[in-house]
Amino acid sequence: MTNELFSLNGISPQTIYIPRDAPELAQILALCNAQNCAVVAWGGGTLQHLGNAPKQYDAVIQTANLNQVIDYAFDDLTATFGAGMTLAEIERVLAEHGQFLPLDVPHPERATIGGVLASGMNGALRLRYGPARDYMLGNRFATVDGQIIKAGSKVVKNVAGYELHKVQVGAFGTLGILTEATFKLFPKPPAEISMWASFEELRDACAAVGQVWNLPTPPLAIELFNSDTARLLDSNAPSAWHIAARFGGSKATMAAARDVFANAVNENNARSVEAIEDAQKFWRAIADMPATLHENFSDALLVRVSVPPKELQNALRMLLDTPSTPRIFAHAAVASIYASFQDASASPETFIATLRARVHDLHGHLVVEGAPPTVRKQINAWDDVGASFKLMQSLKRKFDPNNILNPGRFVGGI
Amino acid sequence: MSPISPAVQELQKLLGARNVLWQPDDLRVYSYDGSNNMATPDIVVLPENAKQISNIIKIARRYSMAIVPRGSGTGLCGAITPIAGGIMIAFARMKKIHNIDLENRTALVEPGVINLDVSTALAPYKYFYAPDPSSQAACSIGGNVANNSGGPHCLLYGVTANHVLGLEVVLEDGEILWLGGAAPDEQGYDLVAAFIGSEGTLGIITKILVRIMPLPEATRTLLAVFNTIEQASRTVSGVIGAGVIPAAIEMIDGTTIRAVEAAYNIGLPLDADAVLLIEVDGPKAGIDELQQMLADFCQEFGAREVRIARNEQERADLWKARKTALGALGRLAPNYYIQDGVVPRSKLPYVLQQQDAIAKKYNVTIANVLHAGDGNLHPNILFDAREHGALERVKEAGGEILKLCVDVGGTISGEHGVGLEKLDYMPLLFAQADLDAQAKLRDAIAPTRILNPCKMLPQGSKCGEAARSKLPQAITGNAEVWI
Repeated sequence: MTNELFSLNGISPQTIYIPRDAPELAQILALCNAQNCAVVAWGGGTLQHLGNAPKQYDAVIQTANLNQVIDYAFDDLTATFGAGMTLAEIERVLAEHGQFLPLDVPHPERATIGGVLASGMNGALRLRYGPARDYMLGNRFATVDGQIIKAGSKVVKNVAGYELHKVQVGAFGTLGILTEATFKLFPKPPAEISMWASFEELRDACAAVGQVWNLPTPPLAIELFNSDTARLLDSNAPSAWHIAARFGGSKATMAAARDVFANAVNENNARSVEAIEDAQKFWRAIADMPATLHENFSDALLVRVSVPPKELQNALRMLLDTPSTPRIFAHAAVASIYASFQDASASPETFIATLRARVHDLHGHLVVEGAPPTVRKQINAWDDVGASFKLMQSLKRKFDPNNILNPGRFVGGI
Repeated sequence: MSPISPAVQELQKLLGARNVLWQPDDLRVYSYDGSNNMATPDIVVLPENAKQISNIIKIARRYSMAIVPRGSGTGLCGAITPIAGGIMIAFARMKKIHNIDLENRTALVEPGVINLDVSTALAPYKYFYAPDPSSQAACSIGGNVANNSGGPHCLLYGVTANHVLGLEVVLEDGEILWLGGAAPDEQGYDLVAAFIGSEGTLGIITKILVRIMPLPEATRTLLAVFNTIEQASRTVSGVIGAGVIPAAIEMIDGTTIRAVEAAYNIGLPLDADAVLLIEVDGPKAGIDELQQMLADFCQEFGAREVRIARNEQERADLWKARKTALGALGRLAPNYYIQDGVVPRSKLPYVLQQQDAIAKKYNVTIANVLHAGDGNLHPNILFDAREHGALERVKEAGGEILKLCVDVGGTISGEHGVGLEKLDYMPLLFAQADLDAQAKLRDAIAPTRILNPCKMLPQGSKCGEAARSKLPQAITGNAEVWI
């Protein structure tokens, strides 16, 4: 294994640690801390393109050996996984009991549960099941002083103590390194149906999203994309805008869902409506879409825009009102929008600043997820976090006083 | 000279004399919550906005007085007991629902708003606010957030933490901050998550952006009667294990059934040992089949009778047994000590059996009311506080039950919080390093500990001792208490 495999923004680490287990991981972390050696926790590396360039980067601690099912109480619908377990492996284990973790993110065969939690990544299913922090019951994480801290619990309800386990989610490994996590699991719906509808007008597509979200059978996911993105899903549907919705429940509910979906989209001038045949393949492609946009178009500028749900259409219009038409992909009802600009601008810094100002007007924020290396250096991946930043700095100082955990890659230079 | 007088004067100037209480008779009302703890604040203030609260905190700091926020006082763990005295902030004048936004599925409310009032305000739009503590007609949203409250329907919908998107908070330096919001994936550390369930120790919550949901199209409720509590608890783990997640599965035991019957004559068989109340909701299509499936399930696990609600009135009748349970216990004993442990659902039969043994050992009667679907136990240990040594015996039994919960992989509190009551039990669950890490979170945000001191984390300091020396002070005759 060469250290270049762990290169970040052109910098490679000197040392790669692959601890045997969690206690060894904690020991190594304490050692790094004592030596002021800057550490990046590494799962499958599928999300390491997120965030800014490290300020200092000396070592990787890989969680590959923390890949065990620590506890699986299938009759309680709870399970504890080592941070290094891949999502595909978790899916396989849970499928034996008809259960699943609704964390549909890219590259499940490589992405580890620890890495996905640390990145704060969520997929299409969050509409129905919530973000990962909502069904993560507890976790353990290694701290820079070599301790393994237990936070939360292994049962579905717990209010004993602060929700320290949730603070680790989306913290980019800047407060500690996750070693295991416990989840509330979900039974797979007995039946599913997935529907696709196409529209000429954005306003019709957005109105349909709102109406489908309100159907008596609550959708598990509602996605929206334009024709450029539809092509990436092997569709040659000619319309400008497309939505896809996924429903789960009893067979009787699914038959009803199909009809009410068709009514809802037809009321909004759908050009076509159909059931998606190979739904499993389709939703896999949807889960992979953030990675597809990032990897297939490495010369493009990829941004993720988050706005309140009712601003979906305004945010999309704002993204379209730019010199180059972006590829658009959105977890529509959640209003988490990916936009990939092929020829963004001669001045990407100004371009991003302008977009950000307009997203702020919609009470949202914009994160840059991908850019050509030269552009990457000029722009901050993160948006301004506002006045609460001082609390974040304070937390960081408490948990990582020497600033060795992933320094510089998180918000505000944390 | 006591610092109170000048502090009272400053607060009166800030809020007007009628919004500052300091006479002993006025303060007494604010000494209690729903638990057996009691302590009196030095001053109670009734602010109406965040700016005033910011100034109250600045005054408190000048006089080195603690700040304790209080919602409706329905809490069950002494989280609002002003153990170190100080200034209590009551939210009786902060009850506005600022905004209902159906398109964003949010409502912006003040902390003093009563939980049920949110759902009532949403009803005309066919929306609701999901977390429904049994005290929902009295408890405040602010208190719910501070304690991360649950309720019967959080089996399907999740606890308060899953329904709060943003918070306006006043920090201990008086700064007013917004955390989170309606847009997803707020950047940076999840401070909203940190504040939820922090029992008023990190900041004073002054606005809450909650998630609202469309009312389900249909609801079906059934009640199953069992001869043994073991059959009932096996039914619960059977339902969950079969991958069916109803909206709620509640259980009451034989002792509680008999109390309910004596008080309200609902028509439950007096020789039954357990009743399960199961509710499912969702689209109309398929819901009757689901209800039938659950009824069949109960029968398969030995239910001697299954009652199915055919309309809203019958549904209310079935819920009556559950909702009146606590009040009815007053017939059996003047006091009860409520525990709130959680166990893995598959361990319910074993834990209930062991709990029986504990009751025998300490010669106490336990009446069980459970959020069974979540494995959340509410054993009510009945006693008479006037009897010498009774409370001590009851507390020992309670402690042993919590230890049992932790031993089978559970926790010491599912929804009531730590407050003062469970401080001593935190080490059952957490090692010192774990508690130290939690203290780091607190100290990163609220280092002076002026905010609700002595709560959440055992401190082994003067603070903890002071807390213990004031405990226990049982009050005779629990007023209205809900779990």
